[in-house]
Amino acid sequence: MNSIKQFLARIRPTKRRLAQLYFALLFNANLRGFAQGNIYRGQSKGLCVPGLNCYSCPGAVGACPLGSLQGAFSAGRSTLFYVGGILLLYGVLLGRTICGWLCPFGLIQELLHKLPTPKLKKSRVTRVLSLLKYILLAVFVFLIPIAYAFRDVPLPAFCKYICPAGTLEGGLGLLANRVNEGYLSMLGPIFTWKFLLLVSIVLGSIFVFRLFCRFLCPLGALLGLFNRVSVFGVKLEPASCVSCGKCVAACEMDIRTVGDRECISCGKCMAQCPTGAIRWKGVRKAGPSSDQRSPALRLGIGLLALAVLVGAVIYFRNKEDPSPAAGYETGERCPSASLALLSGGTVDPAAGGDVTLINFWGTWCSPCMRELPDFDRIASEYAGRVRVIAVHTALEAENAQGYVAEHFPQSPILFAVDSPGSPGAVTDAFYAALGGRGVYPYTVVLDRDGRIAGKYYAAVDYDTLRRAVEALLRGEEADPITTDAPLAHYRVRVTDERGAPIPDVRVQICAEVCLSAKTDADGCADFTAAAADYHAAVTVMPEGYALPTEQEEFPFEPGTQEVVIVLRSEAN
Amino acid sequence: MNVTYRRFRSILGWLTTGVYLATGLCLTVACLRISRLGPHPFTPETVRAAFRPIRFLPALCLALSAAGLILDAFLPQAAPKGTRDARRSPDPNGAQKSVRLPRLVLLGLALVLLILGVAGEGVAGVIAKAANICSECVGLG
Repeated sequence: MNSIKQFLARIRPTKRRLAQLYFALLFNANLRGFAQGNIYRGQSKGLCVPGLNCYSCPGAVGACPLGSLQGAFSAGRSTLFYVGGILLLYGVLLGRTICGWLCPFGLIQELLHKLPTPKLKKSRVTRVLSLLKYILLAVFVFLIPIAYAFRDVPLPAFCKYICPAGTLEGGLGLLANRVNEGYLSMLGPIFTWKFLLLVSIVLGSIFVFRLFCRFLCPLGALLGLFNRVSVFGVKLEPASCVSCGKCVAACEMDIRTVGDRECISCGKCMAQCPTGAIRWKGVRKAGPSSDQRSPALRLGIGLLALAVLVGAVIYFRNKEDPSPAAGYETGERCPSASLALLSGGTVDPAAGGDVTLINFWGTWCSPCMRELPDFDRIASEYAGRVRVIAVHTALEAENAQGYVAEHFPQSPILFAVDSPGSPGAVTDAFYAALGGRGVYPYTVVLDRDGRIAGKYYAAVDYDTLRRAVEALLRGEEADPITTDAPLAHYRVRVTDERGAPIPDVRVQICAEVCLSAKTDADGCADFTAAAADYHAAVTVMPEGYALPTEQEEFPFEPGTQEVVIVLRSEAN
Repeated sequence: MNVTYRRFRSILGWLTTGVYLATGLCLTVACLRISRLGPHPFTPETVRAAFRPIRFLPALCLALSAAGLILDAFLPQAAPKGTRDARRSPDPNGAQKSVRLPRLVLLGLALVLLILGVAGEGVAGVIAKAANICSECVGLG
């Protein structure tokens, strides 16, 4: 009985742990996002949360202060003031208390450190290493983003090359959902690097207390600068201190003294101090501990906190999602829309006539900036045959206008924006209708009939665009009725080993462009596309089935337009 | 009993460490193997094929971790040994300076910046970034 009591006492979470869990849940209250594999896009994303919590996490209901700061350098003066003000406010009010009590990524590291293995203790080496985060802060959060902002290209260097919270919460958080399997094709060397870095940090956090916070986190470095002046946190009362050093010895961070820039105000040192010289700021005397406070007050605070959390979860669960997942599929006719042009007038992408490239971009998105010159080149080289419409969807039409005027003054690209009075009203709806899932850049290719011929989630290069355009133009140049039709019908049939059709399987055929569709009740998916040497593949494997061999792509035999993919039932 | 336990606990700890490191190594190798397949090598099939041989490792990690945690919770803990710089004394003088004025100045500055930012619709700039998936931020592109 005693050992059970002892066990329960040991696993009982501390108040700090409860606070960490609470805020991790509160900052990620959009639980529906995890189920749907989508991020929340509402107005609460305008508020930076105190802590490192990636805004591309499916659950995130607020913005990451560090990502916002890097983006703010190229987003304009007002955004920089706003983000700077919030960070300053957090710093002055809480300092690194945020790291110790509120940060979700700090919680993850502390839980990893709980795993029972030998631990690496702090030393002079770790103290020197703790300076590394200030270098990262200066270089990756300030210098590189500011340097790129002068070239009008936003580059959140820390997010892009280092941030493990982004890889874990955003990258893996999205990829964990099967609906986002299409994103896998976007992964490249940067993801490989960030994934390996994440694995190293997760592993390291098992053996080293808060490895990322102590050595790498620029947010901790920034907030630590305010520790001395912060309103909340722990402080040392010099009059009562006997310089025994027990507080520094008990602390797992690289502090030199209580409350310095490395202190995360976890409060562990208070229990070690023999003279009670360490206490919370603002508390004049050693007041009653929470255990001695009125039970009614404790219960009231607990219930209020619980009500706020439950309320937040229910609110975000029921709130209408401004980004519906449904969208027009490849092969379907593009929906009609009247998009306002920067040059005046409107354009309807679905009007047909020319091959049309619709590129969704934003001035805050550096891959978008990098690929725009390729679209400009295509629009120039194929003038009169190919129409390029660049749709700016990111709320600020004035911002796009300035950028286009400076970088593409004579471009044949048709730049479409929303009117300043109705941000997102048309362009966001059009983006969602074409199957946009919150990823930028996003490009949709339309054939001359206004049908969707291909979609690119991520940046595309000039060669890929040229191949897609050439393929569609080749299909257009001959009359499919009076000559040898260059357009052909392709069918992919998916069956099980007994020949029974498997409906609702997402398949694609790829040559120079990829077309995707789901199989119908007969297990068939039909495509009409320019004649080419296509190969078929199952994009999303249905539950309970697998490919019978290692073969993943099924070429159409020359002269045939049907391919049969036989899946093996895992039940057999 | 205590000595036997400590020896067993130590072996379990090192065994767990070995499994964690092996898991990390396997994940690294699997990721590198996929990345060598081409410029955009990640597909559901390549990911499944690379991670299939090591799919039992997370369960093993979990089982060993749970065993260690339960043992630690039930059995007596060793006295903390302290850290290598346990003899270092805090610097009480560092906390003596008054911070009231710089705190008020910084608070005022924060509020001014916030007001300017909100009035200039700086919130829209944050929403534009945060309400869309930043493909490069999460390592997708």
